[in-house]
Amino acid sequence: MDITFDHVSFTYQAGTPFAGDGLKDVSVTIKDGSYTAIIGHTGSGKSTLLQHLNALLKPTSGTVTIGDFKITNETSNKNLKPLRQKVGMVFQFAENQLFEQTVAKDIAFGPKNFGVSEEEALKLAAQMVKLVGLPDSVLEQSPFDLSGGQMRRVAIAGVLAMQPEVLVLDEPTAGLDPAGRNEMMAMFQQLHETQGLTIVLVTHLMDDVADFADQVLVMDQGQLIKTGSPRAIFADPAWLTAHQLGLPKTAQMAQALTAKGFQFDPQPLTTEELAQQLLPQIGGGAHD
Amino acid sequence: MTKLLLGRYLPGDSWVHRLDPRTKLMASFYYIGIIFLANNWQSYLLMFVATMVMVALSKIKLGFFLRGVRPMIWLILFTVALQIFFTKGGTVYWSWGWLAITQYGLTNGAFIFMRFVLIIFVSTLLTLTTQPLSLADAVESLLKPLRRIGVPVTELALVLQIALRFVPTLMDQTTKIMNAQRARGVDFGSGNLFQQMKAVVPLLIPLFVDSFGIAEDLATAMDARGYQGGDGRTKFRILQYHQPDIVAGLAMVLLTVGLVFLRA
Amino acid sequence: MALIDIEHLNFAYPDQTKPALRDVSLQVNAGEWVAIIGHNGSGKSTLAKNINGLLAPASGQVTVAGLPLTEANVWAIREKVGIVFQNPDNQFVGATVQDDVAFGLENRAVPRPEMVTRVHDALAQVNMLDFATREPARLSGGQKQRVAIAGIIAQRPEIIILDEATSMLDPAGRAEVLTLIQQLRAQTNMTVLSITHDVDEAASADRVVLLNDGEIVESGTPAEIFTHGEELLALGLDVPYPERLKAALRRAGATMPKDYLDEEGLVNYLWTLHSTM
Repeated sequence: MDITFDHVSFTYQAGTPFAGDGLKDVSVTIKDGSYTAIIGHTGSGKSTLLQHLNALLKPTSGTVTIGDFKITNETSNKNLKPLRQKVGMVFQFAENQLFEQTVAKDIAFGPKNFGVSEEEALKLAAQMVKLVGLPDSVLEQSPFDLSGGQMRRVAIAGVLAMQPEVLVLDEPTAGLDPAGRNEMMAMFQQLHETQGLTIVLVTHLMDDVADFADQVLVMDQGQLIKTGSPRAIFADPAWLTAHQLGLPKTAQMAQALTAKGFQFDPQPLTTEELAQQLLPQIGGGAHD
Repeated sequence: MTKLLLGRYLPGDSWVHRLDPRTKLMASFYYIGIIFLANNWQSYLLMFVATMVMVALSKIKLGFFLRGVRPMIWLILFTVALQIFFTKGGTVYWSWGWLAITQYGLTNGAFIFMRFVLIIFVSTLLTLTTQPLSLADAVESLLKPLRRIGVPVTELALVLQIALRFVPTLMDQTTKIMNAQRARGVDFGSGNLFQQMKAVVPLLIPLFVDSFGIAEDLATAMDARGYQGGDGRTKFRILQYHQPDIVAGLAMVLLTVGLVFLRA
Repeated sequence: MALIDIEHLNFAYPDQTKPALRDVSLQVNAGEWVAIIGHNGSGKSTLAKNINGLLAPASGQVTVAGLPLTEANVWAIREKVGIVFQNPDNQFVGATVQDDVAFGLENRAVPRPEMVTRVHDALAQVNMLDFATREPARLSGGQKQRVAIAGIIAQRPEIIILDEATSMLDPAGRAEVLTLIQQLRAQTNMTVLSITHDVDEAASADRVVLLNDGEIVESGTPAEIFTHGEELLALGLDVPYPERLKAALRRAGATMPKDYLDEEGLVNYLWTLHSTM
């Protein structure tokens, strides 16, 4: 299911705290089965863009096409449910959305809203708990008795249980420790590979962009200022710095090494790539 | 959502904005009190002119004040209608059984309407020109004498201040949770009453949980920063009367004199 | 004597069977920056709360600036220890920036004229003077944490504890707070205890203490700790990038030195190999 933005602009109502932080003439396609990262500093319009992906916001002008759905300013708020089922949203600090008495019920909440029977929804809950790496024993526990990291996983399971085709992730690892962060990113990667989920990731972590994304959208002041592969985006450090965006650690290191006379072609994105390209240039390492 | 706030403060630097919040609070109450002294066209005219002068001094467009009347309009019309139909006396213009429209009824209806509108204008003026926080300071300062009879005024003021401080935080959180649940298929504000009430549960529970989390964190932070209750604290925010406050006070006195002179 | 002296501290939460801290002994000297690292749930934050009496140790002794932590001393100790907590919003008590900075001073009955000067100076130190009358809703996470730090330095404590103070911030906010702490240290030689799982924050410290399941596993300079790259990963922690690259090079077949190198160090080391080829 492709998602296409065609000259989409959005203006927040005057007087709301977000006034000004809208979208200006955004045109882009997020291809079915892709892994797209959206980057840009706080207030660049990332979250506004995100909320257009399942019509939580509707464009002030322009059209968002999500599969068979065309969303414009005129689209009525009714009949959006089938769309919301197809695009799953994991918001920042998603654990805040938990409310049911048991983990199983909370995960089943989404599917039930979309017309899945209670029995079927609970079956899905049991599957999803496994998928996000939690033991079966949590199913009958209260979500509020779990650790922060586990609660986050339950919330993600609740979104996955809707069986969406697109999974939108807004800073999904914020506040987790390094181990939790790595496990969670690996889990999304696996979902992407094995279930063919289209993934849209909003993040500040350039290392994650370099490691996982195949397309990067750069937002600034409500405008989409650059689109390209991570390699193309990170090939221009000066441009990124000028837009208050960082470089992945590997690209930083490669930059420092290039200044010392090393040569890289293409620009390495991951630690492994950098190591592979370095090896011939250091004669295989120290000789002891 | 913004309609739920305690009025809406409009930042500005007018003469009214700069008055001490205590002056504004006391003057508003006083004004609402003396408006009940008005009982004829002359005295109501005086109050109307006085209100318009205050509105003009605030440099805020009349539209904002009219908007303050809108939510109350049905209550006002209902009360006015009661006055019109049930006041007897003077020329009878129309009657049907025990219902009658009389001369006195019409005048009384007009007066009541005027009273409502002026009271709303003045209280709107208070909230439009005074930050909620300054109002809280004013309440604290004015209620200070009650400390002697054991009312924990400073604690209550701190509670009020923290409540005001967290209104935007919780509104923000409400929007976020609503979005998350809408994305999970909840329709807020559609369906019958029962369905709507059911839809609120996934919003309210996370909000409660979140509020308790905030309260716990806040209590810890306050503890760590040496908060041991209201006694023996000094205050950073202070209120001071200035010359305009005296002017405002005198204006209220003159208004009263005029009113007593003009009323029947 | 050490500024903070923790001897054989044990602590357990009432609703849990497993102790949160087990026989923790730690000394922090005046002027030192110590980072305590460990994964979520390792007991890091519990340790911070045991230092200023927000939690009461089950056994063991905590001494801060010569004062043993007792019921009678707790407020005196809190005056010496300022804590910046994790959530920027939930520790912001005041309705505006300056009100929040003044909160601790009000609690300690500082006379108003002095309060005004101290609030002003503290805001200047964290570079937030222009925001003095702003409401918290209009600030970024990094700015809110800078205000929290101003609130603490206005009280002139001897120790500042950063309790995962950067974990909810974006990279820009994190850098903002870290730079500020480094500046303040250069100006005032303040003692800093930072509780974190951010490697960059830990790398800035003089000493790193590694906590796992409520016990101190390891303690040493950042260089000493970061040589245990693989172990850190196993404990759910990150390692600095140069260590990750060295590990990748080893996997690719190169021999790499055991000692910890920072980014510059590794670049120079690789360059030496490159130029002697």
